[in-house]
Amino acid sequence: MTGKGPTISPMKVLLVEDDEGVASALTELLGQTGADVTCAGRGSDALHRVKDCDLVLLDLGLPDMDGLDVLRTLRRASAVPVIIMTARDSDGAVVLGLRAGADDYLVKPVRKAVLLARIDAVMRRMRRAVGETATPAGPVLAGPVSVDRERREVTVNGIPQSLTRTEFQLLSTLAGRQGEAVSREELMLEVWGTAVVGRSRSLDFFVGQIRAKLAGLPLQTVRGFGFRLDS
Amino acid sequence: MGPRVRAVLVALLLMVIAALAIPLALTLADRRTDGLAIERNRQLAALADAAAVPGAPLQALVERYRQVYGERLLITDSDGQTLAADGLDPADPDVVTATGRALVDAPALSWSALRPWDERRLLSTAAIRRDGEVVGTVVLEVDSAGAVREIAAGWMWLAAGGLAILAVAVVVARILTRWVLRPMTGLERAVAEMTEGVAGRPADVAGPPELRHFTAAFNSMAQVVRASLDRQRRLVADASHQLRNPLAAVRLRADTLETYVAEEGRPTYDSLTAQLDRFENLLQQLMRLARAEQVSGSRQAGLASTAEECTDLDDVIAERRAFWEPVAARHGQQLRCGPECSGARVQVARHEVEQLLDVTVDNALRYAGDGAVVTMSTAPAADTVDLIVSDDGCGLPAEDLARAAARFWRGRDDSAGTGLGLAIAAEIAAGHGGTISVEQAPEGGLLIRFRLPSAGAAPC
Repeated sequence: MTGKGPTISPMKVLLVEDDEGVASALTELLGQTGADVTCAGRGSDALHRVKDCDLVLLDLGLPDMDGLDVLRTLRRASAVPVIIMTARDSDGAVVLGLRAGADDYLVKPVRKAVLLARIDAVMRRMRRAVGETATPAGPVLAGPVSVDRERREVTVNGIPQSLTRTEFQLLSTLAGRQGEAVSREELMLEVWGTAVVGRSRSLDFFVGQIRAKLAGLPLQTVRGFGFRLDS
Repeated sequence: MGPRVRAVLVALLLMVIAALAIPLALTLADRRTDGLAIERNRQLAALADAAAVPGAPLQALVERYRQVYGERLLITDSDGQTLAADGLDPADPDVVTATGRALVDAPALSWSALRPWDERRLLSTAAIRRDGEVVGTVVLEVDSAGAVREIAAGWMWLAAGGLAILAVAVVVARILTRWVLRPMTGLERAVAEMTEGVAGRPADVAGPPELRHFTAAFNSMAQVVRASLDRQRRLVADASHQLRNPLAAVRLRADTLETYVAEEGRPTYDSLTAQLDRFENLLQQLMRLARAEQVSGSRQAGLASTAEECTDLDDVIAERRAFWEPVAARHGQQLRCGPECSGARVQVARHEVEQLLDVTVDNALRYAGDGAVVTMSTAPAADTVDLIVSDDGCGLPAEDLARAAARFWRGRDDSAGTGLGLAIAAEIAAGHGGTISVEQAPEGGLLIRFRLPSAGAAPC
């Protein structure tokens, strides 16, 4: 164990941990290395705060819901790297955790050097993966509708349409992944900043608004999952 | 107890049946005999009356009687001279005696009761009187075959009835004793399971009320005992699990602190982290022990089966040897394998055999001293296989051998160990119906022997 821990580049870490002692120790430790740490003691808080995070450190034993459920919900919404850090150490638990979508699995107690090295490794993999899939620039065409995300402009047959901020965000998220089904959770996270769908119908309301304003838009509902924008 | 109760019941019943059926049978025979005697006496009287008429056609009478009834007759005069006869020889001594008795008007002999096996000759006589004077006798040889047959049939019916009652009684006794005894076998099973530490299903509450109360009481006792055992088992797992969070926090804080530790505080800091390492190690071992206990508990309860597991010991030994070789080399120690290709296979999961080897080899390398030679070998027997790890180190004093596999037992000069390694190994072995024994090795050091169930000779 080296005296001076390696610093990790300034990044936003969401720490999901209900044990205050561990949470504050981790906050201090990660803070020292230059990370910006947000703490969530409950699974539902975590899902509300996960937006724009670079990394999630997840404990499995949470007071309100199981960490694995948090992870599964999160995975439907986002591809953010998740490292599970928990006291459960059976082989079965490790397999379940990794299968549920975790990028790494650490069993408490963890040495500082090990933790930082693992975080580095996960982030490295992540950066490599992101580099490969660059989002295409330029306007997206979907039927008679053209969505230009740089200019924040939407036209139908060349005629500009006025959309509210939420409507535009929703449409541009779908347009960014044209031809792919996008889950409700992901849309909620992108537009409202929470991965919890709950019983909220606002997503359906705004989708209805978009369909009404942009006649002929090939926006399909994927039953039980989310929506898809065809070309 | 069942056969004894049945025997007593059957014996008693036999006596009752005998006491009732034998007098009944005798009465039956008496009545039939009396009936026969009365009937024949009446016929004889009629014959005597007919013969008393002077000049009666006696020979015709005799022959006609024989035609109708099939019984033989003899009529004599008062001097015993034959007047008419059909089939009966007047010179027959029995007939002569009977005639003599009749002529002196002696009272007729009463017949003793007939028996089914009787083939007695019954002679009945009557005096022929004319004007109150005996002028001759009629002798009749009574055919008792019909009556004897009837008596035999009656006795057969009685015997059949008695046997039927006896059979019913045996069946009832059987049902009764089973009703009483079945809960006992259930209890016996439950007690046996409890003794082995197996959580089986509770004993059936059945049988007579006393047994019901007892069984119910036993079941609730078993439940309490089992629950407390479970709690005890879980306590270790839960406690060590709960300790992980604070330990993780302390560990992270200590690691964070390292940057700020001044030179004079360095030794203190180092010993602090060393103790933390020990703490972590102990906690991990405790978790392992709790898990091994849980697994062996569920195996014993039949929740998990071990039958389909099959591990080739030679293979695992070779693999673990490769793993531990560098560790051994560091202290100039040697790892050896016993005779190769013994082909021993055990009904234990591979990762568990690995754990057994790891614990024992780690122990041996740690305590046998520099330059020691550690040997891993197998010794197949009929349906078990011995997995043996021995060393030529200093070994243990004889009084410590028995305690070495106990929980938290550590050698006198051992300050770093947790005292749980062999306890975990023992628990894993016990979970598969195996045993562990700690012995003096022939080469001088310590020998750990696991006796594990063999998986037969077929390749895994």
